[in-house]
Amino acid sequence: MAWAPDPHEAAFEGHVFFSKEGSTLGGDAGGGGCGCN
Amino acid sequence: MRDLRPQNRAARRRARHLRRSLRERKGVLAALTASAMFLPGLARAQEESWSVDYSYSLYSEDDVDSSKLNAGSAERYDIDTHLLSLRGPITGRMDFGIDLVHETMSGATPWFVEPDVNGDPVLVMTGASVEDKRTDFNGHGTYYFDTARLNLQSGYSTEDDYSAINVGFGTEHDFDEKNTTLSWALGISMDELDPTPTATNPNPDTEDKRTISVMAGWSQVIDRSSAFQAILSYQNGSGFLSDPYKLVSVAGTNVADNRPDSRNQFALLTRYRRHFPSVTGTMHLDYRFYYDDWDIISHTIELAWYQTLFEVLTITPSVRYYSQSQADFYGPYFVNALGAGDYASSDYRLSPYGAISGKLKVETRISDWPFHTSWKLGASYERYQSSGSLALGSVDVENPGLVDFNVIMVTLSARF
Repeated sequence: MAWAPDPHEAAFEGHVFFSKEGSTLGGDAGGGGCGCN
Repeated sequence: MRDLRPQNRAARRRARHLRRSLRERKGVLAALTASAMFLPGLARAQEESWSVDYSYSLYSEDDVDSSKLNAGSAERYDIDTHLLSLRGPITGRMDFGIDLVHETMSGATPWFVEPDVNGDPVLVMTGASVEDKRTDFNGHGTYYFDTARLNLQSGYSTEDDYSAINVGFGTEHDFDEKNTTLSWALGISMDELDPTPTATNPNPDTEDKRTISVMAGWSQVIDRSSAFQAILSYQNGSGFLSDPYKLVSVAGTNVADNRPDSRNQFALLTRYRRHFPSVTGTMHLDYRFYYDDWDIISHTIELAWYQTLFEVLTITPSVRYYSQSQADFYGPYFVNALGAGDYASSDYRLSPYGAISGKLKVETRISDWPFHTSWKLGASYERYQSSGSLALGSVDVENPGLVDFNVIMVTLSARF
């Protein structure tokens, strides 16, 4: 989806929130990985 | 002889109305295309030229407050991230892109929570020795039909103790002269955990995790300067969903973090974009509702204002608010022994809390210079703070591991 103008920013933020918050889904969830720490 | 003038007048009116209507429809698309940076085209256009984007970000968590720390290092995580992307057209109807991410992580992380002499939860952190690297490679391609697009992507992510491979497939279909776009996508991720041995778990097992996700989206042009999007998502995770490095204090004894081996997640994301030509600014408003069968409900709302100045400078302040309820098996610590088959985790990510973050981004564009290339240079700073008192519901006991962090990011883009 191109609704986030900066794909890098969206990917990075998606990964941060995926790693640090309890709920991630919908739209631009970015990147894989453990996110355990 | 019949007087045809009224019919002719009506026909001319209809023709004028039709021409105006067509102009307005074209105007909507033109307005959206002209401000593509802010109101991205609903019907995504093919890449016309090759571009390279590089960004570097420095993510830094605040130290743990001494009043919340019982043992271990107070220095939490720092993550350096490099992102490199290349994308462009490979045929008249197809484009292709690759993204490469490399992260270096260091610092201490919450290990477990235990009660102090007053029964208040305090944090035991790991030592400061945790260091890891993550590399993520992703390739994606799109084939463009006249009123539809077919997307395919695949990625691989690897760390010392974790690897994941994923594939995704989806299509987008345009209707009503591209004012409406319907889309769907399916993704699968296969992950393998190979936990690093620790003093409390010297011989950890290798574990697997599988995630399947589906989404359906609807994008709609509302008028010449606004658009709306709704995305409904479902994800099923199965396998090992616990954290191999965390412990839980149960009746005064530390046991392994133990979560269900299945999780069903649902989310509805809505997005609204409105461009204000008179002030060359665009508002982005996003809201997401989330629910999963671990009983977490969350609300996320994000508001951004993209302000263009002198045609080459964009300043974007934004705020984000997040609130979640707790997982049904979460507790900061457990006073009594668990029943057989009971799950337990004291991970702050499964605790009830709220978070607020603010960000400022500045971006400048330089066209056709140097090397006949269009350049874009951006920098941003973000501050994120979380606490029990920011949650929508009341939180009796705040998890001492809640995280506050800063992110600095710089981006350089070149379009040839």
